[in-house]
Amino acid sequence: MISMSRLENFKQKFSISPNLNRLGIPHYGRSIPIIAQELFTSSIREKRFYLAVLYYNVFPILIVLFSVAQPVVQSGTGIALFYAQVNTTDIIKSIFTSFFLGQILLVLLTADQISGEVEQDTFPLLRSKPVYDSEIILGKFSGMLGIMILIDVPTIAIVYVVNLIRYNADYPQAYIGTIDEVIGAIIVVLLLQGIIISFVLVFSTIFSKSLYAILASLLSIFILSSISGSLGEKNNYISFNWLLDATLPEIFYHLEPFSFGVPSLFTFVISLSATIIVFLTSATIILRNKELL
Amino acid sequence: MHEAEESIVTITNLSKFFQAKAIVLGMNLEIPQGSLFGLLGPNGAGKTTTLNLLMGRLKPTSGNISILGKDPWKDRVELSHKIGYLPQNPTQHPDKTVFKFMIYMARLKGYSRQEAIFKARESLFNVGLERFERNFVGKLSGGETQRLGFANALLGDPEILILDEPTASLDPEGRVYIMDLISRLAKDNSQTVIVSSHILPEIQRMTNYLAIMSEGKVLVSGSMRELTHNVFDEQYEIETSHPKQLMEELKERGHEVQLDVETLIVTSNGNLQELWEDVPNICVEKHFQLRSYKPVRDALENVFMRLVSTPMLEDIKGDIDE
Repeated sequence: MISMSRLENFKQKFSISPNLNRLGIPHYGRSIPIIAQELFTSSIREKRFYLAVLYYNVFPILIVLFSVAQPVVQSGTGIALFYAQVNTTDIIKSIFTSFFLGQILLVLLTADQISGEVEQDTFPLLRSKPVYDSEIILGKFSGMLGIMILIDVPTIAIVYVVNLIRYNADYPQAYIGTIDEVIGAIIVVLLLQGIIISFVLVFSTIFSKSLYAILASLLSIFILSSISGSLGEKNNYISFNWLLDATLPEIFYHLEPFSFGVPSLFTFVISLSATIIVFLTSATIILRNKELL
Repeated sequence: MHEAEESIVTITNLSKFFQAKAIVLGMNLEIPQGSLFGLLGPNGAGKTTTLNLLMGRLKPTSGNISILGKDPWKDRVELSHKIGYLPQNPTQHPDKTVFKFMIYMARLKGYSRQEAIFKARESLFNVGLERFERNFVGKLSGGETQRLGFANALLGDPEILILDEPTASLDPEGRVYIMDLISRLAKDNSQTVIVSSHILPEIQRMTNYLAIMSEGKVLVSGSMRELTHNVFDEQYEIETSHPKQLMEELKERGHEVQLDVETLIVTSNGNLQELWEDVPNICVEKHFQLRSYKPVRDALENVFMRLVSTPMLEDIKGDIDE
């Protein structure tokens, strides 16, 4: 009994809710998982979700199967094995990546999360409840990230792990040699997708029609990518080129090793996270000042 | 409004412009706590915009709104705990079942999953939709959708209910149901209900306080009793067991009386206090049975005749004829 009361005291003392209450933001964050869950469950009923699943899963898995089933004509490793694989995978890869479909699907899935609700007049329902605008944005962001995790993380994991097993981490196209590098690659991919999601959410809050939000997002991403392409070296995180490359399936088997050390890698991840925060904050500010007619 | 009555909503010099067009202009209004407040006006009078401003969905161009001492635009989240809102055409998620929709709404209101299930069932029961729990929202009729909107607005027993044209697009049966529901809510709870409508008899039936709007302005506001007493409550309908005898008695005391079939129409001519005293006194003295004693039914319509222009009146009359 004593330990229970101590536990309760501890809970009361260190509970975040009273502190939030003091700041005037009671129960902050409670709605985020509810909105995320709602987005997640409603999205998996939509056709475009399955289109995304098809796109993100079927092609990479086909590539893996193809390369696994293919007899290794070379007994050696390294550059000899590289030439044995590169011809077949490159054909599929070039068709696959040329359409930029990955980005388009991600934009299509995200762009109407706010604007679509405004258009269908269901957004006022959300706004009439005690939900902060930042909770709405974070809920939508988390839900979309959850969908992307569901769609592409298993595929990335399969592709890389198969690569590790099949080619003893010596498949020169992947440059991912260990399990921790696979996990690292997945985190980076998710952060990059998080940037796209947060970026598109900004447009979704600006426009009240999802079509405009989709077109504006796509246009902006392509313009940014084109500008970044002319700014610097590929995969140089100072340029914006990674924005384009990151969402392409190419990253599944073409993520080049980071040439910089741990502090630089840390800076890279922090930069990606900061970019997401900037976009999410912008979306929140826009939504906060959005009038619903 | 009497000074003793506490205002739950205070609107001061409120204006809202859309592209230089004034939708609400210099509005001043006080809504007493616990009242059934009607916002009456023709289409385009600015009722929905006013309610949207009250809900914090729109930012005032100028002026202030205070609900429970808070600004709805700045303190929308805190006020959302205390306000239930029914939009004019409630659009819910059509691909959800009624029950799942209500649970989602209850959870957004801040309830845990278990509480949300209880609250959802309670709200659906209150509006008579418990049989439709498993139906898809998109398959509900207009009246049922409206009731679902009501159930959503009622979640969490809000202190203030804001209902925008709750009977619009409903069949007569649906209208009666919703009006009874509003009246019942006011009796059961001490909620303040703010209801907008352009249909005069409905407002008369549902509310005890009223503001008449036209072209973004409040033309007159107050309790129904105050309005009828001060402005136009000149005529009363009296039903009694001895109408002719009562008519003679009243005429003897200087009142202007007409007999319309079995109903007496008495005009007070400014001596309202006297009339109120005379009628019951005569009935008691002469052993007449007083069956009904009320203002003439179209009293509020008379206010419109004085306050709003003819085209608007025709609009309202058209609705009454419907």
